Formats: sequence, structure tokens, C-alpha cells
Amino acid sequence: MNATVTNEAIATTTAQTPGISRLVRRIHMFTGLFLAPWMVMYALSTLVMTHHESVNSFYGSKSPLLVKERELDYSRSFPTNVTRDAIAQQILNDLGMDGAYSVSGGRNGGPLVIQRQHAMPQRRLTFDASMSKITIEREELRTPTVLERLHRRRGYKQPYALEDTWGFTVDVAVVTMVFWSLSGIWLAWELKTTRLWGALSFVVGLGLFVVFAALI
Amino acid sequence: MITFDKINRRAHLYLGLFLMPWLLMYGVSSFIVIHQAWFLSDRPAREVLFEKAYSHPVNLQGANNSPELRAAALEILKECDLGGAFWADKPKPDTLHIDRFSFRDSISLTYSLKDQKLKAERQPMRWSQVPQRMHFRGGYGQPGFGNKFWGLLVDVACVGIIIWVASGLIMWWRLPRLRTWGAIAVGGGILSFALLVWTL
Repeated sequence: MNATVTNEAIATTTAQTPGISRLVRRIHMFTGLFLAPWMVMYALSTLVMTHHESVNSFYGSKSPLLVKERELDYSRSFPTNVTRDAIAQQILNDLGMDGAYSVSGGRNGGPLVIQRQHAMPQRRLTFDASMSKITIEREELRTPTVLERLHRRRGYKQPYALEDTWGFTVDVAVVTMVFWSLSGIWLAWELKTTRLWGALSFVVGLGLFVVFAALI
Repeated sequence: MITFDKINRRAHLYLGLFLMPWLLMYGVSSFIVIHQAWFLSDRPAREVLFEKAYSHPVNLQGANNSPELRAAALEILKECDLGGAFWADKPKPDTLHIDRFSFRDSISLTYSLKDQKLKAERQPMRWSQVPQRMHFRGGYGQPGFGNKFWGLLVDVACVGIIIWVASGLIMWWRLPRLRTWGAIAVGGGILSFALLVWTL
């Protein structure tokens, strides 16, 4: 009886292995195809950041130039106890430019500067309360800057659905990276003809990584 | 005769296995960076290594981490027998701060020119910081063979990721049965990404 059960179990496992392998292989491939743009973006942006001096040498200035888009009258006044964030939010609402932003300036009567964050060229809004004017400048488009900004964007930090969506896609990419690694080992192990060289690649890579983790 | 398909498949496989620790490290560290608040609890206190009278003529004219400031920091690090990667900045006009860091821990040196004092504090290892420190290290700006070789490995990992993507696309295209579903995955990915980048 025991022998029968064992044989059946072996037969079942043997029959299931190709099915599971196939499923893992398919998930490995389709997630890879879907997330390819994220991976290319992260690889290119890392190269841009680690070689920023060489990349910057292609451009005339260190940071992208700001081009004046428009200047408009803005008569709304704010009580002195209103925070800079609240003022920025109100201005962006009034101008139909709601979205992720950061604020600087605006103290001791100085102009309030709002960076309206975009993955593509972002805009800078300067609110001069004493003149009741807002100047909007648009950043010159630079591919390395866009890549770096996408790389650094984490999501979840501001109360906008788009921010959360981006954060979620980054989380998915992160979890998938771990899945690719683990499923990659499994898939490689199944290929008998490449097992030796595969194991060697893995051990050399892991060895180098551990040595560097310990030494520097 | 080795075919192109075979070279492509082998490149995908061997490169993947070799660079797997980096991929795992970037995955784990990115998760920690995004969800920083979940990992803030394990912060051990800094321990003072020494605080002593110290006099060393340094040029504090440069901006934060400028070559001038780094040269001054390097001299102090050498005198303290502390080699390795570092960052130099000026929290005050008469104070030089050096952050000498490794993947495991960091030593913060503060040299006050006014008081002629040098203080060193060690930030002990935090497990959640190790992958983050690895994540943020790249390039060839830090001294020493090890640091520069790590920079090379980061570059290799980046090029490796681009090769994975390219070789993966080729492998998919060579499977006629999966071309339609694969095209949906590729198209869906590109469209989602483009839409997000455009609207974000």
C-alpha cells in the first residue's frame, strides 16, 4: 500500500514538474516583457547618475535652463497664518495645475517658489505677493534629467492618485525583480546542459558581491 | 556551429546568474527606500570613538564635497588611519564634517577649526541600511581600487539589464506561439509606462 502511494506520488510530481516549470517560465517572460520599459529606464538613469559629469559635458549648463512661459496677475491675498503649502496648493488649484509639488522661499516677504513636479519638464511658479504677480517658467527638456527624475520618483509621498499609481508600479517592478532572480535560478537548474557554467556564473557573481560587501 | 539564438539564450542565462545578487540587492533596497517609514525603528545610537584636541591647517574655501574640501578631508582621514569612501561638507563656515562610510557602517568626523577639536562618532550597522548603502554607491569618484571596481560592477549591471531586456525580446520573438500574448505584454507595458510618464 505504502509502495503504491509513493509510486503515485512520484508519478504525480513528475507529471506536474513540466507544468509548473512552464508556468514559471511564462510568468518570467511575460512580466519581463511588460516591465521592460521600467528596467531600461532604471538601467539608463543609473548610468546617467553615475556618469553625470560626462553626461553634463554634452550640455552648456549644469541644470536645464528655465524658459519664461507666461506672467499673470494674481490678486488673491493670503492671511499671514496660512502655511506655504496651503498657499501653493491654492495657487495650483486656481491655475488648474494641481499635482505633486515642492515649495521654497516665501519668507520675510520674499517671493514664494513652487516647483510643480512633472516627470517630463517641470514648471516653476514664482508668486510675488507684493506685485500680485505669478511668473511661470518651463524647464528645457533634457533626457538625462527626465531619466534621473523618474529614477528618484518613489510615489506614495503626495496625496495624488497618480503618485500612488507610480509607487505601485515601482513596487511591482521591485517584487518582480526578486521573482526573476529566484525563478531564474530554478529555470537555470532545470537545463542540464548549462548547469555547470550556470552554477559557475552564479558562484562567481555571488562571490564577488560578498567580497565587496565585506570589504568596502 | 553556435547559432545566434543559442548565444542570445546563453547570454541571457549566464549574465542573469552572474548579476543576480545585484538585481536582488536593487530590488530589496528599492523596497526599503520607497517604504522608508517601515524601517526606521532599528536605529542604534552613535558611539563616540574619540574627541581630542587637533590642529591641522585646512583650506575650507570649496563648496560641499568639492575637490578642495575632499583633499583637506583626505589628509585628516589619513592622519586618523581611516581609509575608504567619504563625503566632505561644511555645516558651518569654520567646521569640516567628513562622513567616512562603508556598506556596513559609517564614521562621522567633525573638525572645528575654531575650537581646534576633532570628534569621531560611529554609526553602528543597521541591516536595513546595508542594501541602501549598496544601492546608492556607484561611479568612480571615491578613492581606492575596491570602490572603483564596485563602480565598474554597477555599470556592468546596468548594461546587463539592457542586454537582458534585448535578449528577452529576441527570445520571445523566436517563439511564434507566444507572439500575440507577448505583443500584448510588450504593448501594455510600453503604453502604461508612456501614459504614466506623460501624466505624472
